[in-house]
Amino acid sequence: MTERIPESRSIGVLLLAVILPLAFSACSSDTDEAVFFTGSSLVEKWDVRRFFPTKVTYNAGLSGAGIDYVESQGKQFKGENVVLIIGGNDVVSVDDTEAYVERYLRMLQNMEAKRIYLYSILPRLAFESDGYEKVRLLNKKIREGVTERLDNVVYIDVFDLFLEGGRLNEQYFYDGTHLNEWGYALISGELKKVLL
Amino acid sequence: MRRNGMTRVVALAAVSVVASCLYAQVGVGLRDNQYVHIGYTWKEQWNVTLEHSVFSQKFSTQYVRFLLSYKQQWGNWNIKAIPYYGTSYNGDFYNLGMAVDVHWRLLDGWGLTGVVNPHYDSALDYLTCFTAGTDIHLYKGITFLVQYSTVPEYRMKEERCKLGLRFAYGNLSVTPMLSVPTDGEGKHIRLLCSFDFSF
Repeated sequence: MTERIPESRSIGVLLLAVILPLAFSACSSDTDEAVFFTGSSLVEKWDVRRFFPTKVTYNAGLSGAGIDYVESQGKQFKGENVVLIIGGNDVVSVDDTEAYVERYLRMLQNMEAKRIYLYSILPRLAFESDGYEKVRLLNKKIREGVTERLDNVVYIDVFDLFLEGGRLNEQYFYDGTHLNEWGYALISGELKKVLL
Repeated sequence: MRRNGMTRVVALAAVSVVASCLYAQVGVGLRDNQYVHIGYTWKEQWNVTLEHSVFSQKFSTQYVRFLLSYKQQWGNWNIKAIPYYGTSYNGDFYNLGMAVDVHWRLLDGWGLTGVVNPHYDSALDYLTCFTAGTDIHLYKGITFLVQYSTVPEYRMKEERCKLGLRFAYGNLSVTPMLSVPTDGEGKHIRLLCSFDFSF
C-alpha cells in the first residue's frame, strides 16, 4: 500500500537527514579511548569486539602465554588503557612465590600504561589439587603489591566467582581451563563495571 | 569537548517523527543480534530507519543510528544509497557514512551484490569498507548467501566471510548467518541473526 507524497516533502526529509548529522559531528569525546587486551589464551579467545561493541578494542592475547610474553611486549602499551589476564600458565612452575610476585609487579610497572585493568589469576581444574592454596596466595600478594605500589592498576578480583563450594564451577568453562560463553559474559560484566 | 548525546538522540527522533508522517509502509526488525530497527518506506524508493542497540550494558552507552535510503532499479540492476549517522547516548563517539549497495541479477535466482561504504568514526577516522557477495535462490522462499565483508558488525572494521540462508515468507524474512573471521586478529566465529517484517 503506497500513497503519493509531494516531492518537496521528500527533499525536506533528505536535507534534514544530511544537515543534522553534520551539525552534530564537529567533535569527539575525550573518554572514547582505545582499549588493548593482552595476556593468555583467556584473552585470545575473548571476542572483545562483541562484548564491548561501543569501544575501540584490540586483542593481543596469546595461547600459552605467561608473564614472559607480556614482558616481551615491552612498552607497546605505553600511555594506553590495557586489560590484562596473565599468570595462570605460570602457577604450576612457580617455586619462589615472592620472586614471582616481584617480577609480576615489575612487569606491570614497566608497561607504563595509562591504566591497567588487571584480573586476578583465574582458577582452573589443574589448581584444585592443593585446594587452590598456591594460586590464592599469589593473587593475595599480587593484589597487596598493586594496592601499595601501583596507582594506575585497577584490580578486578573474579577468582571466587568461578568457584562453587570451593570447587571449580564448570558451568563457566568448557574444558576446566578455558572459558565458555557464560564465563566470558561473567568477566565482561565485571570489566564493564569499571570500564564503561 | 564532550557533547550532549541526548540532544542528538532527540534530534534524530524528531527527524523520524517527521518522516513517519509521510509513511506508506512500516518495517521492524533486528540486525546482527544486537540492533533493533523501525523503518518507514514511501513512494517505494525512499526509506527512513531508526536503529537502536540492545547491548547488555548501561543504557547511556547504547548506540542509536539514523538511516535514510533511496533505491532505483534499472533492468536487472538495483542500486541503493544509504547515508547514515549514529552515536552513543553518552556522546562518547559518533560515526557517519554512506553505503552504496548494488545488486545485479545475473540469472533468474542468481544475483551478485557489491557494497562500497565510506565510513567515518570519531575515533578511528575515515575507513573504506566494502562487501562482495552472491545470492542463490534454492527453493521457494529460501536463498543461500555468501559474502566477504569489511563493514563493521559492531564498531571496529573486520575482514569476515559470511554464509547463511534467507528464509522469506510473506512479509517476514529471517536471515541466520555464520560470520567467520579472515583477518589476523579475528579468531571468533559469530552466529548472526537478522529478521525483517513489514506491514
